[in-house]
Amino acid sequence: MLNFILKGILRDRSRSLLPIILIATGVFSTSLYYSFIRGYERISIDSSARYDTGHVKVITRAYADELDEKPYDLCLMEADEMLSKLNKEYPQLNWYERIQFGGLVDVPDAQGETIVQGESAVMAVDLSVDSDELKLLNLRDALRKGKLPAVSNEVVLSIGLFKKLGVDLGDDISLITATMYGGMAVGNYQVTGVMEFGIPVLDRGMMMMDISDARQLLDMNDGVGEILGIYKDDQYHWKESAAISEQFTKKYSDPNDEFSPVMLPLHKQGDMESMLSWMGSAIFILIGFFVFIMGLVLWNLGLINGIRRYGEMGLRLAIGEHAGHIYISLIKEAVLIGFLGSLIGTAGGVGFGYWLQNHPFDMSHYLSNATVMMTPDISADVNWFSYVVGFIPGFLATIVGAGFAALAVFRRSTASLFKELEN
Amino acid sequence: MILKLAWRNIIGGGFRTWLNVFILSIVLVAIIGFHGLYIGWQRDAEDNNIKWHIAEGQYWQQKYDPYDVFSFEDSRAPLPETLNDAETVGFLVSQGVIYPNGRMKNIIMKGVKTDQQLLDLPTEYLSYESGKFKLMLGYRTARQLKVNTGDRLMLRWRDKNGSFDAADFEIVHIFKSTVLSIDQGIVWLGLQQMHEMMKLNDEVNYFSVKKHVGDLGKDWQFKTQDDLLAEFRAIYATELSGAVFMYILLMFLAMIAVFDTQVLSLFKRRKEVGMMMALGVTRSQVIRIFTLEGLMSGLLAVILGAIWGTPLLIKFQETGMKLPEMMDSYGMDGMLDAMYPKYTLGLVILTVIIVMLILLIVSYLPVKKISRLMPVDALKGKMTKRKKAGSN
Amino acid sequence: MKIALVTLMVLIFAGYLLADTAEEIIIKIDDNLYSDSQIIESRMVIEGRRGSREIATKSWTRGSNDSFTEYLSPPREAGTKMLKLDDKLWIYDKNSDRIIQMSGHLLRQSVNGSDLSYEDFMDENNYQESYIPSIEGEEQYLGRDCWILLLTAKDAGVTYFQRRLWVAKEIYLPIKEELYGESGTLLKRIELSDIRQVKTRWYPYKIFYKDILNTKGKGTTLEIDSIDMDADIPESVFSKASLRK
Repeated sequence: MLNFILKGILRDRSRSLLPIILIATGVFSTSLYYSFIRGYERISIDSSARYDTGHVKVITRAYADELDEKPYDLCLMEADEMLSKLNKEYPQLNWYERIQFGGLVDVPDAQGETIVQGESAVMAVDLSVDSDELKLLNLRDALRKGKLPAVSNEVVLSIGLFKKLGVDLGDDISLITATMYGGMAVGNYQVTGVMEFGIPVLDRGMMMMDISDARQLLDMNDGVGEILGIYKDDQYHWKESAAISEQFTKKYSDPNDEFSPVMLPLHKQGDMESMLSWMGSAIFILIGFFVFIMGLVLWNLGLINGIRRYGEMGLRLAIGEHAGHIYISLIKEAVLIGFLGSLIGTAGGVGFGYWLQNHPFDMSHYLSNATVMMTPDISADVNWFSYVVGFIPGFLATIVGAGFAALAVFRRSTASLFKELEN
Repeated sequence: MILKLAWRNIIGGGFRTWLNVFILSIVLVAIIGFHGLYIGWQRDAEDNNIKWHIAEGQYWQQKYDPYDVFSFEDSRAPLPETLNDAETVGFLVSQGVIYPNGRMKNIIMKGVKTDQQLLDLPTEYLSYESGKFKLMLGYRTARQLKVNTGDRLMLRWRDKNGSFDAADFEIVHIFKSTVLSIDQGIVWLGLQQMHEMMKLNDEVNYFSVKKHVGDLGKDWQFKTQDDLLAEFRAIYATELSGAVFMYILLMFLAMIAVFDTQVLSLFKRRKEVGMMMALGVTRSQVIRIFTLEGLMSGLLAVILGAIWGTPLLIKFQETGMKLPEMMDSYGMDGMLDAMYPKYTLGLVILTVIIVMLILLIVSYLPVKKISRLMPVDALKGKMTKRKKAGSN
Repeated sequence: MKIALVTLMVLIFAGYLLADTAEEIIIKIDDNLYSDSQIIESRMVIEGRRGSREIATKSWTRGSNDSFTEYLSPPREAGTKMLKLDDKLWIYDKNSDRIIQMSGHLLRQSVNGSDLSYEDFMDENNYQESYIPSIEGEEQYLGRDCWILLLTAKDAGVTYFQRRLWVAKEIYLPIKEELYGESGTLLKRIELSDIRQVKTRWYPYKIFYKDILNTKGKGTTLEIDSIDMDADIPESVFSKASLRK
């Protein structure tokens, strides 16, 4: 019977091809939209995690109290030992050391006299050639001119700072700041490159240097401002990150020692928790709405396809086929068509979603104000739900629609059904 | 006659017609509702920026850079005398240090004329009283510092000569605004008070104006509203592109239903088409009838959408979409407790036109094969097959 | 009786005439604290959140306006030099081999994380030059009879608008000082102790600075190890060239 139905579907394009295409289109739209909106959420979390919060962050208790200020004088010491422990105890995350501080950039003339000065935020990360930070922070993509620091005492400037200071690649600058103990610190650096992240607050006035240079400058031997943990699968695991943070803090933190370490998950830093919750709710509502519309459309489709077959139903009844048998065979057809359509639609939606995930679409190039760039805003995040969010409702809606239409074999007379053949 | 025929046919469609109409109406209302939210956000952010801070534009002292604290000291100048006092609000900017709960924190001090009427910034709370130190904060800053109206805040500053001073200020007011640039990291003082504190006369760093007053010399640079809103508009545009993606996918879904209905319609009415053609109706007229039927479902959708959608959208406009408590520090203007949609006639008309245009195409595509339909085939209930090249 | 009364009045009047005026007191204070030249070796003990740090310095001063300071320890700070000439301040950082003029925002930085800013350092002019004194009263403080002097800035540009000094009468040296802004807010407190005689002068060998507004801070102590008043200092010391030597 199945063979017969399948042959019928494959040979009669009007019965199968169009419905399959239409079902596939509906499921494709829903699956893709889900992946897209997850991509939007992921970009927000991603951006925060990479540049600021990590998925988890290890800092001292004192630092945590003034987290917004990034008080590097309250940094974590014996960082190497802590890093080993983290790598051993939490291998599901990659760990990154960061030091963030502020200083005054001083541009001297040939005699060493100041020409111009400007304030700068400084981000110190591992810039060695095989460092994961290069990929994490998209440093190679962000580089607009020159090259990344390769040896000690080289820095890159953000595009805003570079223009403001009026320097060139290869120029020497000094950075005046304070050591972690408050003493004056002055370092000389060569400008090797210019970066543009597309994030205004970073692009305005930021310098990037290797973390070893920062440690040297700030007298922070074996110290680190923050250790960021990023899940290896790039996904933020809300519950797990909360659990490991609690576990870590319980194990290593001492309420009587303000310099003992604590671990904070992303959603406990700043205002992320409520924002993420809200985003989750918004996504749920939007997807629910989408699935509802798709369900209606595909149910309607199933109905229409069934109605188209009234003549055939009448003929089959007339030649003696049992009504129940006809009904079952129509359902079986609907199952196959629904399955094929949903499968193709899901494959298309997931496939396009994967493509978009790996090739995010940067809207900034198309903005009229080219002086302000933003991070890529059209991307996708395909997960297991992308496979089912369109498939299941699409499949079921088609069957339900066909099922309702096929009830005509029981409700309408053979003659009236047969008459449809003439139309 | 064509219109009458099309109308009769669409109404005769019964449940199928109304299902399509219902789906289309949902999509229409959803797009209008959602886009209204974006428009509301944009309007809110821009209008409030204008009302609270930038007015019709600002003149910045030549060296003033709001992002460079070191520029503040060197970028002060007296307000030009030719200006109309009532149409100008000057701002004096300086660095300061506050001590909330004993901690030290750098802050920006901004002095503003207290009796100004141009901006919505509630400067009247800062009215000058000799010997009294008053300051005002934005809601976000107050929350960050964990202070309330009536609390006291120690503020330290340096006057123009470099002398240190500090005072215990009373927080006289905490205002709520969706404009980030007048809130985060700023304490507001009366301009007279700040002049007194800093031993300045009439100097300001920048001023907002009711209207552009032309060139004021090399000391002052005019920034238009477009200049000042550029950054927000860029953020808005990128956020909006994501929404447009959703609209496209929604329209996709809705048009599937219409397309399939048209296919069914043609399938079931082949004989009717043959009859019409036999009676002298041209092929193009027949195509028009079917296309019109598709369009009419769109029209019905507009009417149905208006009936149930209007009260819903009005209610949505009143209640807004609640935002999480901390959303306002996400870094975007226009977000505080809730986002309120704004529906414009333009939005509604544009949405309807776009939907109808797409509907036109989607209604036409399935029925264009009528152009090669032979009346005899149609009367027999068949569709004329395409002739292969070289065949008779 | 009459004679006794007149004698008493004469004594009181004479006493009044002989009593120090506020101006005379601060001249004597300045005489104690400032000589034509001084060489001072000292240690700054800074109480930070991670414990205390000690920075040893040697200073050469000329009058009250010019000074040259070299950091001796710890090893990271050793070799850093500061030159103050009137109202200008330069710092030489040996690690970067750069001479930076401290101005504007840089002056507001604290010296080595202490409760002193570079501006405080700049403000070390003698009292006569910068302030108008008046005697507010008298008080016993730490077992010493003291005048309470109120010093009000003569001109704009003095870092602290007012200072209140508890001046030990017998040695003409302030043992406590409070620094105020024009609003009357107390900004810093300085306590001078371990007073020793150096030749004909009295000098505090221990000075404690406290930033009052920073309630979480624990203050900074300056301890003098040795002081050589009226020392012979070559003029070349007070030049930018000496920063790199």
